[in-house]
Amino acid sequence: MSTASLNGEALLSLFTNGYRNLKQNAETVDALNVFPIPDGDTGKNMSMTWLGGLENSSTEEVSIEKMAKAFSKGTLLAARGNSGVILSQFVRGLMNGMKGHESITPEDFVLAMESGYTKAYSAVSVPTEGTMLTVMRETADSLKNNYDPFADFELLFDEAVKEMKKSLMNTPNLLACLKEAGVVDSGGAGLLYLFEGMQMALHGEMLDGNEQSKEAPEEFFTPDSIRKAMKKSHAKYAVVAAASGTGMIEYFKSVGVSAVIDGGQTNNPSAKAFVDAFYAVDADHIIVLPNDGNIVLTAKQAAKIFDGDVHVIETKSMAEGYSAMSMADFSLPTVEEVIEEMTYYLPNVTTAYITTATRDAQINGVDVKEGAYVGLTDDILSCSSDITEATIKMFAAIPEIEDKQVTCIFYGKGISKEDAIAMGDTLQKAYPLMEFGYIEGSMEVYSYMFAIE
Amino acid sequence: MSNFAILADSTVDLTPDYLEKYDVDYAPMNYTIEDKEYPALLDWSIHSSKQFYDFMRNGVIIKTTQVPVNVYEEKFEQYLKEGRDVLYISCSSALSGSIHTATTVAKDLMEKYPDRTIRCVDSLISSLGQASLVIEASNERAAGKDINEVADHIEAIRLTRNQFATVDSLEYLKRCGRVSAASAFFGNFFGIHPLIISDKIGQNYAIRKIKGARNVIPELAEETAKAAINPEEQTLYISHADSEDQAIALRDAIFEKAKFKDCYISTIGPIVGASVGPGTIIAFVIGNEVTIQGGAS
Repeated sequence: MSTASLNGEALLSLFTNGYRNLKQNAETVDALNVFPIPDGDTGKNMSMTWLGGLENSSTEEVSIEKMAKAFSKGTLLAARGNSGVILSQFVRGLMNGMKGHESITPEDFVLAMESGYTKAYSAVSVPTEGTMLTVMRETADSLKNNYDPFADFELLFDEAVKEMKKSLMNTPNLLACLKEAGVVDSGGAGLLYLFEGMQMALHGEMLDGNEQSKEAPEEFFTPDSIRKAMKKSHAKYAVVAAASGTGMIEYFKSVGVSAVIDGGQTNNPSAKAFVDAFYAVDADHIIVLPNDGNIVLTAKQAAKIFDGDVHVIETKSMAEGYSAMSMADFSLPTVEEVIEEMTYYLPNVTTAYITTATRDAQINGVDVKEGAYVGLTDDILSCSSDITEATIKMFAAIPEIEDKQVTCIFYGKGISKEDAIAMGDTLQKAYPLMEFGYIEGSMEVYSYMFAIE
Repeated sequence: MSNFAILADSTVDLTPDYLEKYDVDYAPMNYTIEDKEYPALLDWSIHSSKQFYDFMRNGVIIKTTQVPVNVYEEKFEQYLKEGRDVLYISCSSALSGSIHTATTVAKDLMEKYPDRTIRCVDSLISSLGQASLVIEASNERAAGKDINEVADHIEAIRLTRNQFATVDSLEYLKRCGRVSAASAFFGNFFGIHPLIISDKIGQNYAIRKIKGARNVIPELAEETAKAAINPEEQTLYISHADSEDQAIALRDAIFEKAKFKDCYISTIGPIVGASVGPGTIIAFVIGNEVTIQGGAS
């Protein structure tokens, strides 16, 4: 096939196929959406905008000027979201290029694309490069300047799609937030899908509009491994924490601790383990959470040995480590400020545990029976053969418990989430103003650990 | 006497009596509940504020869209036909793309009406922060300033509006991507309430965390009172998402720390409301120019 000119009807059929291709890939476009507002709706907004153009156009309109006018008006009215508004302005400029024509040549189309991006740029008060705007401009300029006049639309669209893709793949180099997120620009990708659909139509491949969503092409996303490596080499801050219990280790990793050293009461880690972790995280400033009174000194020792900026926050329990992480804000400019936030509520944290007594004893006025549940903070506060009673009594014995506002319940090995929630519900009745949260800690030694703040 | 029209949009959160008092019009954005689209009106004549926030409390997802092209065309042209210029003071461009559409429409209409002026000013804030700029513009107009003087003035002072907000749940802000902070900031923690400012590019930025619900009002009041310059000469603005008790408690806590001329409290409209969720309270005062800029936008 060789299409040397397009009239209104023919262009509308290309646009229709463009729409179908965009719609099938709308989820990919949504997933790429990080700029300017990462609300994941670029694909939807662009499709709805383009559909407005299609719905406002007559399939029987032969004059390209008249078809263009109707299509452009339709997209302007249907435009939604930033990407839709920019697309509608591109269409408007593109369609201005059809003025005075009954049908157009490939040359006319290239000039119209130039008019399209000019209009789109003027619609945005501060045009940002690395977006759909760049993809429009680079494609149009390259088609105009780097090629001989195109003999037919098939050749034009084959080259247009190639140029557009090249420009799209370069967007992360122009816009930092795309690079950080490991994606290409979403609006640019939407535009590519429109043009690709038009190219397919020219080669006789018409989509039927009912086909299923396609999977996202990998090339639009930086593989996780590369993204992680990129991030790691630029880390400004990293947190190294000691923790014990598989759940606790996973938990600290999930909230942003870069390296967790398996340690704790029965298995104190060495200074070397810390130093190795400092090397591994490779950050400008390292913050250490020892999370156990017996590990603080080791962590400090390691900080001295290591040739780098290491700060030890003397957390004496994993509950204190939790409190520190919950307040952390790694967007602050200096490590001193980060530490100030992390330590802000630390003096208010009470760490309490429920464990099992290993022998009979009389401690702190509490009668402890071997095998019974013991509630303790720094002191033993309660003992009962019933775990709930031991917990309630322990809470009642904590000084200033009425002033505490939030308790995070870490439940240990052998305790189910349902058990933990039932315990929280019982505590809630005694402390109606307190907020409770639950985390599976899978600690070996303790049935429960409470971070009471 | 200047007679240009002042136009805001649905995020200005002024009650109808104030819109009338200051002779301010607004261009509605839209919100969608279960695939049905409604204009976001400030008189709550479609859904009451209670109904609206109850939808959100019950998990209904409310989507919002910017001011449509034809709405701007109609609003602008209505005044141009009367021979009046139009000053449009928009919602922050970091929260809505509306101003881009408005700018394009304005450009076209000024070709059609070469003797008329439309000025589109990005307020870089929303809710009653935007309202306080709109009211200042109205007062300047009443003092006889022309449209360009007023528009330039608003552009020059817009960053003096300091916002201090907190939300009940971060889910809404996260869902629509409208809060800037590292993801780990909002990890799996309990009892954390963010203190959210409007930064120098007009995006909501969680600047600090407050732990414990009972600490929220005192800390918010502290920050707000501290930021206000000459509070005795200004109105304290507080908006809330169906949480008037909290708004009043915040006003009282701020009044204990600083003496303001008066206080205006209103309900957060459907557009800002849909992105912050029920229980949100926001205080606005005039303070130093905002210089902080959040992370990735």
